[in-house]
Order: sequence, then C-alpha cells, then structure tokens
Amino acid sequence: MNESRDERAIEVALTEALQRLPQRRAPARLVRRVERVLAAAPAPRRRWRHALVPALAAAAVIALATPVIVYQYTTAARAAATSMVSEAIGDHLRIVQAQRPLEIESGDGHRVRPWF
Amino acid sequence: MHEDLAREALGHVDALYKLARYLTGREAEAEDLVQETYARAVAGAAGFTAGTNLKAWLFRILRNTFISMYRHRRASPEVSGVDITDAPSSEDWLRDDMELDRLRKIVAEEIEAALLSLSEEARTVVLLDLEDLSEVEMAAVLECPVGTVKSRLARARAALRRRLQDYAR
Repeated sequence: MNESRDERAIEVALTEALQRLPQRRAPARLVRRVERVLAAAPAPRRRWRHALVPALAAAAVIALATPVIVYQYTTAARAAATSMVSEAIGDHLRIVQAQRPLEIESGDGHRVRPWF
Repeated sequence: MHEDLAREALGHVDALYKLARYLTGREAEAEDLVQETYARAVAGAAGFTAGTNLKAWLFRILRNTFISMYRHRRASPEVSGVDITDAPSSEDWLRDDMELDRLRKIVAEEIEAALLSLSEEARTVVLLDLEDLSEVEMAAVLECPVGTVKSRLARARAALRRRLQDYAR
C-alpha cells in the first residue's frame, strides 16, 4: 500500500519536474515565417462553387429548350384552333343549307320549273 | 485554410516548436520543421475534421514531417541531443525571481538532459503527454494503438526516472 503511494508520489514529482522543462517559445522570426505561410494559403473554396458548373449547364439547357417548347406548343395550338374554325364553318353551312331550300329561277310567278 | 482555423493553428506554434526542438536538437532545424509542418497543414487542411483536436493534428503532421525529413540524420550526435551552440542563454531562461529561477534552471537542465538521453520515440511520447493530449489523441499522433501508447509512456517515464536517479548520485 505504502509502496504504491510512494510510487504515485514519485510519478507526480516526475510530472512536476517535467513541467519545469525550459519553456522553449517559438522565436519571433519563426512566428513571422509561419504567419507568411498561413497568409499565402489559398482561400477555401466555397461549397456553392462545387454546384456552379452543373447549375450553369442546367440554366443553359433551360434557356435553349424553352423557345423550342414554346414554339411547338403555340404551333400545335394554332393548328388545333384552325381546324376547329374550319369545322365550325362547315357545320354552319350545312345547317343553313338544310333550313333554306335552294332558290330556283322561273319565267313567271305561276310556273315552277324543277331544276332537276 | 479557413481564417479562424489558421488563427487557431498559429496559437500552437510554441508547442510545436518545443516538440520540434526536442526532436531535432537544433534551433534552425526546429524552425524549418515547424514551418514545413504549417505548410503541409495548409496544403492538407481539407483533411482536418472540424471539432477534433487541432493541436494533435498538427503534432501528427510535425512528427510525420520529422520522420520524412530528419530521421535519416539520427546517427548524427547533434540530433540526439541539444548542441552547446544552440543552448539558450541564461537571459532566456531567467524570469522574475532570479534566485528561484536560477535553481529551476539547474533542475530543468538536468531534466532536459535526461529527456534528451531517451530514444526519439520515448521522448516524443513524454512530451505529448505533457501537452495534455489524451491517450487516444496521442495514439492518433503516433499512429499506433492506445495500448502501445500506454506501454511506451510507462517505459519512457521509468527510463527517465532511472536517468534522474543517476544524476542525483
């Protein structure tokens, strides 16, 4: 028991002795050299810069694709509208023809001459 | 490297220099080692995990840099100990209380001599222990299992005690 206590005391004394080692501070010229090394270090790359190239590529694709998509959409819409108008006119004419018989030219008011 | 991280890293320059000084044994080489450590830290800043111990990370870089740059000179006597020309002057060591610091200087020199007589690995683990790193962090610095750190530290401290007993005789 005493032996282990003495052992601990010796270890503590040894640690205290080691703490009395000469304090070797870095010379001022070394501090200046280190400061220069740290100052010359390149600035850290921002994280958003890693995504810059993909983002620019995506923006370019969108910029190029948008006019094409808009053109295709408007052309198709215009064609559909034209087709609807033509169909509506045709329907209208058929209805008008069905409700109003064709006028037949006659020589006088009492004689009707069939045209067929 | 982020500005805040650089500022925090600069705050560890004394600790890094201390370890570098005890590893290389020479002032000039220690300065080069520390500068190279920071250069490598800047280059590999992306490898640092935020929220972990920055000092331990820097120690690891310093140790690996030392191994790659200086270990081949281990046979050189200057590397195994502090050479006389680089020994700090008494003005560097003395502080407020001259007499007390004078006594502390003598003791510190003996401890320093004992520390420098240890192997490089033993010296490193003792110095890292003084930096208040946990055993897990020391294991990360030394790139070995925690159990190895414990046994290496115990052996290093035992060797240090033997050296100090020799000086006391």
